[in-house]
Amino acid sequence: MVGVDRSDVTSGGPAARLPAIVFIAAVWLCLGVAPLAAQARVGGEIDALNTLAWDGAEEELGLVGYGSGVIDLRSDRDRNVQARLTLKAILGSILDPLTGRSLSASVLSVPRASIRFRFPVTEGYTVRVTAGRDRVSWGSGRLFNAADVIFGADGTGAADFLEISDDLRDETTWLTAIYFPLGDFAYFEPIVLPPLPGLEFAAAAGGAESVEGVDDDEAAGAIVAETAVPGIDRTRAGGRLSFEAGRFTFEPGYLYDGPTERHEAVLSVSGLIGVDVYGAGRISLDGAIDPDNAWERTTFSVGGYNHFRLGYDTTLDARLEALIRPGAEWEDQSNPHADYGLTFYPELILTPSRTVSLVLRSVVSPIDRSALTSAGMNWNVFGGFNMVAFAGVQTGDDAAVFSWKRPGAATLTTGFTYSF
Amino acid sequence: MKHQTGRRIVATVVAGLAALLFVAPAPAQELTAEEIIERMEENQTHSTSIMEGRMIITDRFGERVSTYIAHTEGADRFLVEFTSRDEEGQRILRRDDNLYLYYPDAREVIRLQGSALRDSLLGSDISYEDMTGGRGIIDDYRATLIGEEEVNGRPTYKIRLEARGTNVAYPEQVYYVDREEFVVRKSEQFARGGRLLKETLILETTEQDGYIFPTHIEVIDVTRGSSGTEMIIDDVQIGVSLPANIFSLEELTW
Repeated sequence: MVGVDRSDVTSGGPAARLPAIVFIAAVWLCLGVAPLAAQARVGGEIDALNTLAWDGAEEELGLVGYGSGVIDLRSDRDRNVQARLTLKAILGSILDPLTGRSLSASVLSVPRASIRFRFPVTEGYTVRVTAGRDRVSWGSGRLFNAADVIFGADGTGAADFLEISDDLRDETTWLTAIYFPLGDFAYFEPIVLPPLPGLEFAAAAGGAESVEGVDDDEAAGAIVAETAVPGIDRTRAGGRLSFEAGRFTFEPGYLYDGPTERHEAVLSVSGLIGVDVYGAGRISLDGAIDPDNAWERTTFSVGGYNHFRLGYDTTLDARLEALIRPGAEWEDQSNPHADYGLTFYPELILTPSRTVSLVLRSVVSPIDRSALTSAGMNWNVFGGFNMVAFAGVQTGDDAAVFSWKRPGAATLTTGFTYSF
Repeated sequence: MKHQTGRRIVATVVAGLAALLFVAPAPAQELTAEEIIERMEENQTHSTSIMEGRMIITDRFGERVSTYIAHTEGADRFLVEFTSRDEEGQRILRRDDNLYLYYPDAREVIRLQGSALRDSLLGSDISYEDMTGGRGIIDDYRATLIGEEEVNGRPTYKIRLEARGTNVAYPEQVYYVDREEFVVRKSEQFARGGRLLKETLILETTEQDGYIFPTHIEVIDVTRGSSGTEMIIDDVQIGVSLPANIFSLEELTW
């Protein structure tokens, strides 16, 4: 099963995109990397995976390849200014983890392009500004996080289920944020998230069709021919406060979501109650909502985590998360696209040695009694080099969110990753 | 906690306490085992330091090298930034008894508490709990002075440590503490039943500004002949001026 960052998948077949990618990459490599290498830290990563997939609807077995490469440029260490540019190329066929369908894609994307700097306001007080495309994490949660009003509370669609130790979610967006320290362990951070313009692309090399980009999606492999400026009413803006009280960290926040004209208020809490616990609540309001029904516009996530030592060299990490939406469906709708009120995410990671990790995880929809379960291993054979093998299976009836009668009902992914 | 022996040593090295800046005191007379251990731990405290080092994890497939820069102040404050490719930009902040991790790709801060402190640092023999220093060795072990022995030509106290409870990685350890410099020269970790599991050796020490501290430590996994962890300090500056507010969330997330 291959997780897909859907923002990376745009229209246009491989044949259409590939010449443009090759052209741009060649130009970039020739003109960009050589002079930058002396001033920036350059890193790379290659993933080469193959997935054997069972199509439960057609009762056919398929095999798809997935390759991706990342070039990561970071500015030299500096106490006042930092910059990072990440270019990612996806080549081959990508399997959507939810539908199991193979999506043809050859896309060059820019997951990160950001500048951070410190600005001295007074002699002893400095604020920090982040501008560009970057990651921002509100609240806590590995898969479910109700406080994440920027990328969404449910990360199932964007998660990379081949990850074990790293984050499952790594969405980025265009933003400008200012970090105001409030002492050493608290801060206030206002943020503005303007949409990117609708872009019309023309092929950089012949033969490619134009692609209509939307909002935050980065489409590449082409050059901009025309832009359209979205109205200011499509902007999202807000802020969060973070502070500690005893063993707990609190993070209240607010975001106005221009496209939906909603006011999102969130509160995230994390701390220790025997085990590590975290939770968040969100209420989403607009002018049309009757305050009496506000409960139906809430979302909650809760999670717990514990680390067990099994012998002196073996560990077990256990995690359980739940996503609760009171206003969603609480009875079986016999609809694969139903929006249910309760979803669980249990995860066990066994590390029998310092280089091998085994994982068992599942996205469970208890209301329609379906689940997406995967088990896998990651072996860090050499520094930066990993061998991965994952098996995934959907269980549930035909009309459930997850079903054996679905494309990609069962998958087996094997391959290699190398970062250098 | 994987490695109680290296606890103080490693905490210092990796966390930037590096290697324990041991003031060279006059030889002690008639010290008890507890006093020797406490004196060893007291010597870890110093004003400020900046150091660069490497952690080399070895197994039969080869070596994994993690590099870091550490800023420290006293015994309870440090900020470590990893600079090697695999974990570039990851940071660990200790401020008193609080420990925070920062993952730059996720732009996420994790406050380590409870069981998460027992997790291993980058797959090494060091746990995050080793870095907190919240509990001393004597809190977890009963110490008995069982003799004196030479280690690499240095006279040492030989001290047996027996676990007070089960919440430690090793039920028994033996420390060899330098009689003059109060630095561990060697230690051994045993399983229940007395089987030797690991050895920690101080391969090199250096003296700077009146402090003597280890700069090359090797942890050998005796049960797997080809596995081990080395910690090397390549550069250290003691008593330097540190940037204001360096031990803060803002600096952690920079």
